[in-house]
Amino acid sequence: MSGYQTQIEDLRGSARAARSASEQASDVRLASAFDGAGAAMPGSRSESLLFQAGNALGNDVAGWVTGADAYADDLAAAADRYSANEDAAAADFATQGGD
Amino acid sequence: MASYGDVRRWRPGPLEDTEQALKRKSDSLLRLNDEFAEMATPREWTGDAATSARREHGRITGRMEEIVASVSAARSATGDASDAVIGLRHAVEEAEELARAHGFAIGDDGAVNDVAPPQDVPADDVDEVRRERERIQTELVDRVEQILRRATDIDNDLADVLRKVSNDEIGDDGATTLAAAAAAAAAGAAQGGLSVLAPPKGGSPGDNAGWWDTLSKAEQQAIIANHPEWIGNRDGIPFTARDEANRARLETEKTRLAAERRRLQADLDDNLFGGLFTNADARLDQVEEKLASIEVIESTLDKGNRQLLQFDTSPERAEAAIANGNVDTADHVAVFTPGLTSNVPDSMVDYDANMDNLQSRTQDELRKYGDGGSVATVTWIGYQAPQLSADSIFSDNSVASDQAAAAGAEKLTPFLQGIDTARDTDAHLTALGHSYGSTTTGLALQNDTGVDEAVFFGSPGLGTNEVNDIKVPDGHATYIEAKRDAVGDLGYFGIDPSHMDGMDYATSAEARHPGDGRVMNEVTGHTSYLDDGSTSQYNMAVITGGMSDRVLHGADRGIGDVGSWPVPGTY
Repeated sequence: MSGYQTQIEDLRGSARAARSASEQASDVRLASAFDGAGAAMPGSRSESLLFQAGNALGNDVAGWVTGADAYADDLAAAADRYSANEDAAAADFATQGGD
Repeated sequence: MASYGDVRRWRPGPLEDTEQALKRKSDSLLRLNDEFAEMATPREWTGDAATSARREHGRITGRMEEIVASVSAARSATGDASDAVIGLRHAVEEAEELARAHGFAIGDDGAVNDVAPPQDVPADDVDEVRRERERIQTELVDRVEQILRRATDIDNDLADVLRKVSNDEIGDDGATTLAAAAAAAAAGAAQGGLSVLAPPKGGSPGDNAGWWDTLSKAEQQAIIANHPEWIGNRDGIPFTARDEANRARLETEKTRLAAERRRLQADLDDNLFGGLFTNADARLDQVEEKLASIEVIESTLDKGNRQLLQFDTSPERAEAAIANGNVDTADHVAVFTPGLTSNVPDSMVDYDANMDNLQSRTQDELRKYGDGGSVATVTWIGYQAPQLSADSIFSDNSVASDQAAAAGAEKLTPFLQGIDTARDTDAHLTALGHSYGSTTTGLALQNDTGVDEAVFFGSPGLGTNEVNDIKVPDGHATYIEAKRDAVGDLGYFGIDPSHMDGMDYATSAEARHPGDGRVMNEVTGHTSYLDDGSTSQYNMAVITGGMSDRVLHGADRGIGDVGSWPVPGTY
């Protein structure tokens, strides 16, 4: 296997790792940690904030999963394109993957 | 704000469950560490595409660091809140139990209602029962106030962290790599920590006890370790905790005062005129007196079985109270207030020995003739007793004025109130006052203190002409006077107690012990009432032990008492 092919395989490995991280994170349902927590302090300001914090953290992880998936997609796509044409892959990442 | 009825329903379980669930989920997120290393872009990859991909990788890992930090902050905050609610529930249970035991009920609005006043109270006890119930009701109101204050504090602290979590405001302390996620989690935990609620400013003993009871054991220990000055002299706090805090303060005060002594000495050495214009010499004398006080306190505590209940170096002369025995648990507690010339360095050793003897004698009487209960005796030099010096005779602190006694009573009153308030069950409580200390004690006992017995001896006056002003149960105010005690005939701060209607009189003359027949010594003059083996000490012992039926009665009046007889209509 040439050095060029090795780098493409490394890119595919990074994409697989990102996908794995995304899958593991999506199994971590943070909002459920707060189920019933409000019952600890009825009448308090924290009662509703516990619910809100749970939702916010759940959304944070969901957003992160979306980002990680996109990153994995971009890496995989780049690897595919590098196989055909490295310049095209670079242009694609520059337009899709940047901030 | 949550009502008392709401707070009564607070429980730690759901918060504990959340904390545990967050711990598990946080651990799962931290395990992504391996994947995060592998998903980095290949090092050899260069160019615009590689730069963009690396930036994206950094953004993703950075974002997860922030999430982990938020989770840790929420976890820490819910865990701390859970612990705090345990303390709060304890305080609620204490208040509810106190209310139930005395026929009160606490409403959902926090109001303390009298729902079961005692029936068929003997006429002689009506005043005492009323006073006691008023004291308990006031304590309950204070406790509810502190419970709500603490509940609000717990809620505010938790709400602040939760709001930051919801608004994505928990920082990751600058973590920039995935490997720093664990550190970011620690940063999140630090931000989630709840504050320790400071004691109520100017709180009554009930406020202080209520505040202390709302704290978890861990918080109480943290306060003893980090803020001993908060509780050392705070009436209403358990004395075991005060003792621990004050012993810690002895060390820090000794260091502070030693440094101040060096500084003042250096000032004096450098000044041609000494302390003539700076007063540094007088301040140095005060510092020396305080360091000597600490030495005496330490040597007294070294004798063992002692508690340092009070320790204050802020006044002109150091103040301290030392107990023989455990005031938190003793069945019978006596608090002795000495008078003229008493101060810590010169008086504590002897008075502590007197109280040690009184404790032993009382326990002996209780073992042989009483309920076998335990006893603690306290030497309370918690005020600026007048001293015999040229400049003090004409000052506010003069023995010729009751100002020092009034100021002392303002401190003695909450100290006495704090004894029953700090305990789970009331002590049988006796106040002993000698000489000018009897005036201080007499003034203090004109408030509701929970004191069951008062013994005055060698008194120049109790700050009143009426025994009814002394708020102890009828027939439980006793006066002892020795022959040739001129101070006891002064009648300077109220009439001579030897002539007070309703006062009980115990003898100081030689007498045989009513149980074993041994001879007990007479005391004469002003300073021997506490002598070991004396009749006056015996009488104090049986009163302290709650056996006033064994008191040897008698008024040992001398010629001075004839002269001090109050003329009706002149007082």
